[in-house]
Amino acid sequence: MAKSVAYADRGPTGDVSINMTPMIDVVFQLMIFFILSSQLASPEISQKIVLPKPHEEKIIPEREVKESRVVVNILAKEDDRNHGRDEKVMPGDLAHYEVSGLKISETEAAEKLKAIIEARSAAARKAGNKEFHVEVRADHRVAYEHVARALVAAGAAGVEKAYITVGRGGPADGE
Amino acid sequence: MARSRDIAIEPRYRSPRKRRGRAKVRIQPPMTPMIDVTFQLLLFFLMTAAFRNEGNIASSIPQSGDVAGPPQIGQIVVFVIVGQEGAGDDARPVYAIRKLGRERQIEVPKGLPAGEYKQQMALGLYEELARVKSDVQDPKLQSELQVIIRPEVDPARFAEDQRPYVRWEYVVDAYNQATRVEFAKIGFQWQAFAGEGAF
Repeated sequence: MAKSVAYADRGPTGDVSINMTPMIDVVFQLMIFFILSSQLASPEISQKIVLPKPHEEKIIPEREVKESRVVVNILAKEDDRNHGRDEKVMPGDLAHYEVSGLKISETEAAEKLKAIIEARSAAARKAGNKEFHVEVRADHRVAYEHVARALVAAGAAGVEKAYITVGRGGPADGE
Repeated sequence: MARSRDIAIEPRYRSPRKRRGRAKVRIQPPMTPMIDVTFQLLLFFLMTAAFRNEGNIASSIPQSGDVAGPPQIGQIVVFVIVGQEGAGDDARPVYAIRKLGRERQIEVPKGLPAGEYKQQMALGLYEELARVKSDVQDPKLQSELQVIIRPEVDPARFAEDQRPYVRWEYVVDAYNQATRVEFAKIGFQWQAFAGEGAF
C-alpha cells in the first residue's frame, strides 16, 4: 500500500510526539477512583489492631453506618516490641485504649473513657444527630475484661448502642 | 512549500498584512505541568488510601444490669458460655450452651489446627443455637428467647504460669453466631467482668 499523502509530505524532519490525551484520561479516572473509594487514614482508627474475624460474619458494611460515633480502639500488648523489654507480657494483656489518637492507660480508663464518650455524645446531640454509638475496635487477642471495661464506660456515659468492629473476608490473621 | 501552495489556492486577493494576521497558530496549553501535578495527586491518594476492610456487628448496651433487664416469667434464657483453653498462640475456644440448668458442650475433634478448630467450633455453636431456636415451637416464646454471651474463665484449662483469660476474638465469634441465628435479644454479660477483681 502506498503511504498517505500527508505522511509522505511530512518528510524526515517531522517531529514525533506521543498523544498525551488518552494517558491523561486514564490518570484522571484512576485519581477519581482512589478519591472516591478511599477514606483518608484517620486518627480515629488505629492501624495497629488486628481485628477479630468471625466465621461467616453477619455485619453492617462500614459505608452504611451513617450516624455519628466515637471509636474506641483497644490495643493488645502481645508482640508489641516497646513493651516486651523488661516487663513480662502475658497473653491477653492490654497495651492501651486509644480514642482519636489519645492514649489512655488501663488504670485511668474507667473515668477518662466515660468523660470522652460523654463529651462526644453531647457534641453529637448538639450538632443535631439523634443517633450516637460507640464503635468498639478491639484487637482479637485482647482479654474480654478490657473490652467489657470500655462497654461499661459507654453505658455509664448514657450510650445505648455499641458497634463491634470485625474484619471481613480472607483467613483469620495469625493462623 | 505548503504555505505558497495555500496562497495559490486563495480565491481572491488578500494583502500580505492580512495574511500574516490570519496565520493559523495552533494554541495548545502546556500539558506537562498538569500531568506532573496529576501524577503527584494520584500518588498521594494511592499512598494514603486506607481501605477499611471492616464491618460492624450491632449490639446494645443496657443501662442497668446485664443484657435486656431481668428475664420475665416464661422467658427462656440461653447462656452461651465462652471459655478458653491455653493462652497466646496455643489458645483454643471452648463453647457451651446452658439452657434451663442443663449445659451442653460443643465438641470438635482435638487434632485440628488452630484456625480450623476455631471455625469448626463456631459452626458447631451455630448449629446448636439453631437447634435451640427451632426446639421452641411457640412463636411467641421463640421471639422472647434471650441469648446471653457469658465469658467464663476456668483456671483449670490453663497452665500454671499462664494467666487465665478469654480472648475477645472468641467472644465476638460467639456473638456473631447468635446474630446469624437471628435471636431477638442477644447481649453480653459484662458487668461481672468490669468490676474489680473480675479475674
